[in-house]
Amino acid sequence: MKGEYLGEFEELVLLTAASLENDGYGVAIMSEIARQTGRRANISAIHAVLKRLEAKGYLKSKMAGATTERGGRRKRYFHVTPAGKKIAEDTISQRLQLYQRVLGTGIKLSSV
Amino acid sequence: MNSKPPRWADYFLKWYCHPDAIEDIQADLYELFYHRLFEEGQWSANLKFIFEVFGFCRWSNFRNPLARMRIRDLITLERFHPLNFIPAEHIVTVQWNDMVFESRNKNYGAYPALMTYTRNLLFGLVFSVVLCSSLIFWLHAQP
Repeated sequence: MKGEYLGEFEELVLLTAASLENDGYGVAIMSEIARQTGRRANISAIHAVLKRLEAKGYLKSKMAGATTERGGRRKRYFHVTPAGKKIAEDTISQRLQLYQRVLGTGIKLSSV
Repeated sequence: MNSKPPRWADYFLKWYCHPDAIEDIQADLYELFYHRLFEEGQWSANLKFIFEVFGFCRWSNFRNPLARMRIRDLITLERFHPLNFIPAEHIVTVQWNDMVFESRNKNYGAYPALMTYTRNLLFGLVFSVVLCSSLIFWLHAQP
């Protein structure tokens, strides 16, 4: 069905938001991606992807947690919806099937 | 620390950014700014703040330019507009819809239907008139 797929960066952001559970907001997701993958993503790109994932129904957001560091403004926390969990599971199982097929062809997986 | 991000860049962000998105965008930019101010210094933090303000210049983040006008301005605009067949009441209705749906989801449901009602009605009217006229002409042209 149209729209039921994840781009590479969307997958990364969705998995990071899921790993942060209910503490994922723009800057936290960006820092976590940098820490886990070494990839320095732009905050505007993160926001664009989060908005897109929310429009697709894979994430839901709520505003909370104003701090002085943020000038008294609230954070938009994201959490994964059941549809988001399902698409993540589908994507991971597809990837695993493909990886299992290439393992005999000389491609090796590094330690996980 | 009393340092603040470049004021003109902050104003520029407030000027173009949609009111629904401004709070979390600005807050994330401020958080990154203060983090960089501590880690990298004022110059680098300012430069990256400006770069990111321009980075947020995306179609989905822009505010509707008509929404910032007052109702009176819109009626004046409508009076001198070449397409002034759209009645002033419709423009007031558009403003009213914005007020009613201010804290509600505008992506689907009644809001888009109400916003496009007059346009759809006009399209429907023009389409029907053209179709009926063509049919009458065609029937008259038959031997």
